[in-house]
Formats: sequence, structure tokens, C-alpha cells
Amino acid sequence: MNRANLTILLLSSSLLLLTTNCFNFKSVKRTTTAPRDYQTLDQRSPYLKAHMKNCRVFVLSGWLIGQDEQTVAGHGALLGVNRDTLQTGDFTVSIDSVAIFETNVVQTSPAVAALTIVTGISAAITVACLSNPKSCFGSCPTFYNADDTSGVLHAEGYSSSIAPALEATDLDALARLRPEDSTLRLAMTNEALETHVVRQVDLIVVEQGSKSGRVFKDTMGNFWQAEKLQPPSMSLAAEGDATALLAEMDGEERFSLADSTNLAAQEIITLEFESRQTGQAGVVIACRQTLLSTYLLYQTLSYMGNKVADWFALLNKHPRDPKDTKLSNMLGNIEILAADSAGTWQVVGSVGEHGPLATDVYVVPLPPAVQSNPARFQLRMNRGNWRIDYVALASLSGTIGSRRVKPARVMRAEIADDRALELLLDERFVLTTLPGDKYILEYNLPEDVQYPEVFLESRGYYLEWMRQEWLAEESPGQVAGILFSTESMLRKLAPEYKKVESRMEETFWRSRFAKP
Amino acid sequence: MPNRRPYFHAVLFATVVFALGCSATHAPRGVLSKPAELHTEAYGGWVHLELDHEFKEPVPFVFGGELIAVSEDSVFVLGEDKFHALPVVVIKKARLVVYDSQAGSAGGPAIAGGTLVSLSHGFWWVLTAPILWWSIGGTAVGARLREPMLDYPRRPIADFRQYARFPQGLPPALNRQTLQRKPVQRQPPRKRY
Repeated sequence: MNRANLTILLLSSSLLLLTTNCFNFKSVKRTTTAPRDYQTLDQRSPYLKAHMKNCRVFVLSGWLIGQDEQTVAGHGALLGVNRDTLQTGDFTVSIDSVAIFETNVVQTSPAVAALTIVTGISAAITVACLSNPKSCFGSCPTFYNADDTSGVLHAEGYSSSIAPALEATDLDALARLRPEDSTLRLAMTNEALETHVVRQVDLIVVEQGSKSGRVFKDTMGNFWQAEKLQPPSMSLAAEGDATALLAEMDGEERFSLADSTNLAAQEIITLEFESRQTGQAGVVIACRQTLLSTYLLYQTLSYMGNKVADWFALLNKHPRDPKDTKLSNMLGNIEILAADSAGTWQVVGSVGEHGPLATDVYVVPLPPAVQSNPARFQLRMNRGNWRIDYVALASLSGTIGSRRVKPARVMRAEIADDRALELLLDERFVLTTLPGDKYILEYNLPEDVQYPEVFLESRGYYLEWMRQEWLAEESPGQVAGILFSTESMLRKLAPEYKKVESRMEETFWRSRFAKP
Repeated sequence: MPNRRPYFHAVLFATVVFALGCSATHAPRGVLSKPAELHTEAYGGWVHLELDHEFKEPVPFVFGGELIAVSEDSVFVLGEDKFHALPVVVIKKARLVVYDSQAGSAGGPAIAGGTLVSLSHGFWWVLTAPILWWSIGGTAVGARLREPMLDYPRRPIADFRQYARFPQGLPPALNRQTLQRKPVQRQPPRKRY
């Protein structure tokens, strides 16, 4: 533990000591009782005060009402008018001579509960941030259906664009969103400690062709009309049968844990489909990344430390697609392999996009060479880097044109934000959002599209905010290691990642930033 | 767009400070007993009174003292200088403090410490400090400060009775001139340098 963390831990401990005093907060419930009502005296009171008619008062511990019910007895003191002690010892007091009884019950103050909760939450956040600072939510713009309160995340925009030089256009399938009327409202949010620079957020609308059909995009940006979707009859992964997990686009995902010695280790899932498709076929895959890539991004930023601006300036000077870096290549995409006529597995396509938040859907059209034997495939991917929700074999009826729809209205805090709309409509300008910002983007869908399939095309970039905890690991040598000795760094970081991997998903989603 | 966050924090902080300030006991140091001491002590609580300016008796308009007794129409208080019998009708406001809540000595540093530790939350400080510590923590400490207090006219003066030195009422035979105040151990003055 470094010195900064130790200081914070000591401060937290001091806070606990301070609040321990608060935990001793006691309140007092006092009751006065007329002598005739002695039977109702609060038995929880350890002391009984008998205020006498002559202004004196007996303070009795271990007090008892006599069997004759005429007296009260106990051990204690007799106090005078000025409350000086006149006598101590065992006393038996005639109830008749008492003007009024007094009992006091000391109990824990209700304020303690509130302070306990506050301290607990505060300490938990401190511990979470100290133990795992790289699991705090990072997102790029996130998109939800504004008219659906279920909280399903439909898309995340340009996850790889972590610097101005990396500004990019991202196309995401809104596969779980089926528009039911002519207006679609999306909520665009900034839920992380990031600055989002949004140049464009358009809908791409494609005609499905039929109610049962679907349209999927390939990695080249073509839209394919698909029918007869067939989930695998058998999916065999290292852990066993994964068929049920891959059968539906339902959020139930198949994922694995990273290798404990090498983050670049790979794995294979073997798929079998019952019937072969006639004509052009394609493999449909719905997936997202695990938090492995996020961890590695944050770890790299952590190694950049205070010099992060210098590194990014260097990146601006020599822009390079992050998908084309050695690290990205080693983590890789999901490759689809089919057996050729000789029975050798050949790569026929690959899918994958950076981003651990929203599931995206792709189709990989199969080349003619494998059309004759499309029933058996393999998915090869980095172990612990992918969450696969759905796989299917589809019959593709060809590519189809699309229609671009720009936002018609932008709302912020339930008020029309014409300035934001203006910025999103003119590509020369950008809309900048900060943590907690939320915009509702309203789109008018084309009326002549009977069964619309919608995609989201966003363009922009975002800037991660450096966290104080990240600065402690600054090391230009390690940055160079990630850039140039990626393989050995992925081995070196494996044990560190394994320490946080199991808790990362939960911590990550819990730390989403939302305005109160 | 104007950044409202600094104003939000300033207003929230000021509100909490104001709320805590409204919970002043007015009692001299050492006069109030701790909750557990109420078992064995038999003094009255500390009452702070604000009187009607029309009241012609030689009594300060604002003063405090030990609550000695309460009758149907009068409140009896042992002030700094002497015993006062005050008709209820001349009392504009009164605050009775039964015991020392200790919220100021423990709650204040806890909130300050909590705010400090919240800095370890990084950017989340903008939420955890004002919401957890100033708002919820401040409210809890404020509630704790007010726990031992009764305010007149919000509460009827009769509710004060059981916290008087003589909850049975002022004994007829009592010699008011011989009443003595609760002995208070003098605290050494605080070092200023």
C-alpha cells in the first residue's frame, strides 16, 4: 500500500473513532407517575426517584414495590432541597408520602442509525475506491430508450475514441428496440467521469422486409436482411455445454474468466446447427466485451500518470487506430472458423468492437467456399474478454439500403434544448457533455418503412478523467511495455487482474455516475 | 451553461450550519448533565426564556436558569442571580434543554472528518460530502442536538413540568431564598496560544 492510501486509511480509521463517539449517543425517556399509579412504573428504569411532599427526593436503585403495596424499597440516597446528599443506604419509603415518582430509561438515540448508515456507505466507497480504483464506471455515451423505465442499455457510442485524434464513427445495432410508433426517443447519458464530445447521433433505419425478418450489419457497414434464424443445437465451451446461454438474445451471456498467467490466452467454442441453410448464409453474433479491456485501458492511463497529457499529445501528433495497436490485436476479435473440405479449420470472418457496456449484433456472411458445409463452426477468442449473448445461423437474402434520420428534437431536463439540437445537426460543431448529463433525442421515423430495424450512428470522442488513485503508478517504462512488449505485459498484469476480476463487473455497474 | 455546483454546495453547507445553529442550547458549560447522569441527579433542566417586553418586573427580557417547577399559570426558574416566578402569559418563547446531547462535541468532528475522508472518493466527493455528510449526517446530528429540547410555544408549557427540579410542583413549604444552583465544576480556560 502506498503512502497516499495509507493516509486515507488512517483518516478513515480516525473517522470511525470519531463516529464511535456518536454511536454512544443516548436519549432519555423520562416518565413521571402519580403514587396511585405505582403499578405502571417503568420497570426498565434502573433507578426510581421518589419526589417527596417535603421537597426531598429518594434516588433508589434495585427498587421494588413492597408486598403490602404500601411501600417502595431500594438502595440509594436521600437528597435535600438543593440536591445535596443527606443520607445513603437502604430505604423503605411509604408510597403515601411520595408526591410523584420519576423513572428514566436511557436508550440509543435514533440519530445513531442515520450516522451508522452514512459512515458505512462512506467507508464502503472509500474501501472500494482504494482497493479497486480501476473498476469505476467508464462508458463513452450510453443510449437508453427514453420511454422505457426498465433501464436496458441499447448502445454505447465510439468506445475506442479516447482522444480527439481518435474521433470515430460508430454504428450500433438497436436490436432489442422495436419502434412501435413513428417517433423514437433515445436518452443519451454521460454516466462516467468523462467528458464526452458528441459530433453526431443519427438513426439509421432499414426496412426489415417482413415482421419475422431481421436486419443485421456486417463489419463493413452493410445491412443484410436475414430470415430463418436458427440457434445452435450444440455449443461446447471449455466449461461445458453453453447451448442454453447462446440460444436467445436475452441478456443471459456466456463468458469465461481470464487466464491467471496470460491475459492473451485464447479459447474456443464449438457450435453445431441442426439444418443447413440454402443460399447465402451468415453467422449472427450478439456480444460485448468483458471489463478486461477497460482494466487494461485504465492501467495504461495509470502508468501514464501525470504525463497522460504528453502521451495523448503524442497520440494526436501520430494518430493511430486503437483497434490496430499491438494490445488490441493481441486481445483480438471473435473469429469465426469453418472447416474446409479437408477438415481444416479456416477463419471465415471476425466480429468485435470495443466496449463492455451494450451488446452489439453483427452478421458474418459466409463465403461461398463454406456454403456447402455451414453446419459446424468454431468461435475463437481471447479468454475472458468476451460476453456472448446470442449466436445463430441465418439465411441472408441480400444487402439493403438504409435511411439516415437526424434528431428532430433535443430535450434536457424536460425542456427543449435548441442549442444542443443545432450542434448535433451541424457536423462542424460538437455537443460537450459532463458526468451526469442526460439528453433526450427525439427522432421521427420514416412513415414509408413498414417494419423498421434501427441502428445508431454516433460520432465523437471522449476524455477519461484521471483519478487521483491512478497517479500513484506512473511509469513511462510500463507504458512503453504495453505499447511494445505487449505480450510480456499481458503476462505480468494477469495476476493483478485476477485479483479484481470477479468483483469488477458488480463494482463497475454500481459506480455509474448519475445526478441526484 | 452556468455551473451551479459551487452554489449548490455553498447553499447546502450554509443550510446545514444554519440548522445546527438553530439548535443552540444557551446553557453555560458544565450545567447540562449527560444522559446517564439523569438517573441519579435530581436537578431541573436548563430553560432559556424570552419574555414579553410589556412585563414590568425587574427581570431581563432574555435570560436562562434551572427549571425549578411549573404550575398551571407560572414557571419558576432559578436564574444566575435569583429565583424568578414568571407568569406563563409573559413568556414569548422558551427552550428547555434536559441533557447534554454531546452532538456538538462528537457529531461536529464526525461530519468534518467524514467530509475530509470523502476526499478519498475522488470526484464522487461532490456527491458523498454534501449528500452523505452534510445533508444526511448534518440532519442526524441536528436531530440529535434537538433531542433533549422542548420549545414553547410549540409544546405546551405543561410538558416542561416533568423536567423541573420539583416535578410535583413548587412545594408550599419551600423557602425560595435558600435554593442553590447546581454546583458546576469550573472548566479551565482554553489556551489561546
